[in-house]
Amino acid sequence: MVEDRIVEYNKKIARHQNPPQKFQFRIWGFSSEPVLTPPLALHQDQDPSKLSVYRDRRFPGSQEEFEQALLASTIVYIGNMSFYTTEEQVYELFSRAGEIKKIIMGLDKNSKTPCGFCFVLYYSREDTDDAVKYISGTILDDRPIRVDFDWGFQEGRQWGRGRSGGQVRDEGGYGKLVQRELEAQRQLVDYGAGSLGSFLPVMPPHCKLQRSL
Amino acid sequence: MLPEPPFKPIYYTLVIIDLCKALPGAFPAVVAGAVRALFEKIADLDMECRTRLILWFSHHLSNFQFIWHWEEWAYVLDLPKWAPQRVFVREVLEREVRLSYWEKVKQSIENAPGLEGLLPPKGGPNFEFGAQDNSERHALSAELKNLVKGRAAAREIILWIEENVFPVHGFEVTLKVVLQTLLDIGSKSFTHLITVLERYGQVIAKMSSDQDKQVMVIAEVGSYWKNNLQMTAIAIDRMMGYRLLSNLSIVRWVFSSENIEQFHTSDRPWEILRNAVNKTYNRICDLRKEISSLKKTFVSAEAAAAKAKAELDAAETKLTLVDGEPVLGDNPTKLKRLKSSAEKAKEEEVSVQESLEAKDALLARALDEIEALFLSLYKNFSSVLMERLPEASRVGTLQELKSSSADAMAVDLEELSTMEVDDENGRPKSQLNGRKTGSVYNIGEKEQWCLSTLGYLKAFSRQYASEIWPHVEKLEAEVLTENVHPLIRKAVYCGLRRPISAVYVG
Repeated sequence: MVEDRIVEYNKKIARHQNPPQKFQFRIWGFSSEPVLTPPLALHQDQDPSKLSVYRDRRFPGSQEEFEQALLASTIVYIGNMSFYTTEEQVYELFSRAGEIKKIIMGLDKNSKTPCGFCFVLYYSREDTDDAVKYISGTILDDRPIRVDFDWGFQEGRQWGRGRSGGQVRDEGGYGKLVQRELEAQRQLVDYGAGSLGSFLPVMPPHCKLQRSL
Repeated sequence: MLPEPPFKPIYYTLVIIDLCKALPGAFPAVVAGAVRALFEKIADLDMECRTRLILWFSHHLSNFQFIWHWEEWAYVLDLPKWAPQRVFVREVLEREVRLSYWEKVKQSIENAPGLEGLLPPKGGPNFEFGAQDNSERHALSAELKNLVKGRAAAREIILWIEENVFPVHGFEVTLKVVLQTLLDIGSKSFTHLITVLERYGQVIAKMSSDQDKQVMVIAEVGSYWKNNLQMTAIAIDRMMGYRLLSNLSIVRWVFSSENIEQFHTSDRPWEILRNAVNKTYNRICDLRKEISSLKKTFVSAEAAAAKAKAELDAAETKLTLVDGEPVLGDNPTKLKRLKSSAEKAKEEEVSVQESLEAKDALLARALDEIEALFLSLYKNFSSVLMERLPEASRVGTLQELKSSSADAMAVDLEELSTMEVDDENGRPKSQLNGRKTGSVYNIGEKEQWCLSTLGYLKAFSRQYASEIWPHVEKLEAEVLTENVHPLIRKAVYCGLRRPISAVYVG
């Protein structure tokens, strides 16, 4: 069963957005193929080249070092989120894979509001593994999300790198337009305002905080 | 599968989702049928299974736009608020709202608009000292917020409190204002909360130095977040994580009267209890893993040190030729190198050993903590149950409990099975046989409370049986004494898989 899933997903790797689908008559029946994810990492000892198709341009090191970092990582990157998805929603879903240490929302550099991605840090590698295996490709807040191992958080990686302030993949008007229309009634969490504005969380790389301090 | 399935529940959730997508003609109907069947019999379902069903179902539906035939279950509104089916629907809706948002879930139940009444509260934080408050306390709260905005250190704030707030207003008001203000600053998101706790945790710690005070702190958290069960649970959980609250205080709070009243109608106290016990248990598992890996490291460090020493010894006792003369000891450069590696290896071995000893001490402390936790848990369960269970002489089995009526008259089980429509008084309880559609729930509130609480007692015992077993004798001596109600004993033993007859031997 799980092998089939890998084969299926391996075949369809593309990263475009879909507006939420209108599902039809049959309960839980899908009229079209579900949206895709990159291949899953099944076991820690599995082929590292299958860990992630995404290769972060800003990673300071070789491909091999990148893969090593991924193998040890307890951080997941979550993409294709709605701008309106809250940390609490992320918390509820990702707690099902294990105890969450921290959540870092990806923010638009200019507006300081969420722009569609985030990082979740776990305490254990096993939980991280389970999150990538079992949550990637499923729905969060009505959108199929992508969950990947991340190589390590550093200050600055919570900001979108697109020129307009959001994520690169959102460049060009269409993405934002569709989202704004569909989510007109919801509110964005503003991380810039308020008493804690100057306290935006910074995490040292590979912080070894345990469950008990 | 109880207590632990081979994979995490989320795995099975995913498999079922995938199967629904892969076989849209056949599988969803099977799942729907199973859900209906379970719903029908949910009053008889084990408490842990109910919790898992709620979590699974809400997660499953969130992948399918929350589409379900809610109108089939609309009748739960006619059931008393402690009826398991009604509680189930309420809890599923609560989790759905957590996974998405309130308006969305409301829209998903439009086929059964009455169910809206079961949705969780829509409001946000319940801040007593905001702009609407005209009293001095609002001014204090505002000043505290300014201090935080100005990035004051925790020490400064503690000083400010000790000089300005506490002497004037006394402990209780101080606690309320400070805690609620801090929670308010951290109310925007999970990360905001964590940030406040990290930077100003000391302020809270100063005010929660003993269990009584900690219980007050938890009560304030419960009050501030009373409209948001998720944030209540998260705030308490994180405070425990930062060691601002002890698990014992949490247990005490869970068994306070406000929560006891909800044991049979809401998951709120249970979720918080589960989190606390789980966290304690996870700490122990983490420590065990660390110790086990440290032991392996130690073995190899020990071997490496021994090897380095052996090499050094060999080199020192070796006979070499220097300028044609036999000399004891290998060449000096090599000796120097070997000596330094031997020293390093030895240091490494010692340091690993020290870490191991430190971790062992931490584990011992953690094991003591969990023993205290379980004792407290069982004592609390026992005392609240003893207050509410009908006398053991009348009700000794669960079946008897179920059939005992609300006005505490014992009903013989045999009479039930040959029940006629109207009993002596012609009261509605003559429908004790239960109609097939289940639109009547016959069990009285008190009985349901007992059933639910006993169910949770059993579930906790089963879930953590491996940790409880070492302490069974102490448990029996202090809690499960002879005068304890047989139902309590049965629940615990069933959970622990301990044969009851074992007690009466000898």
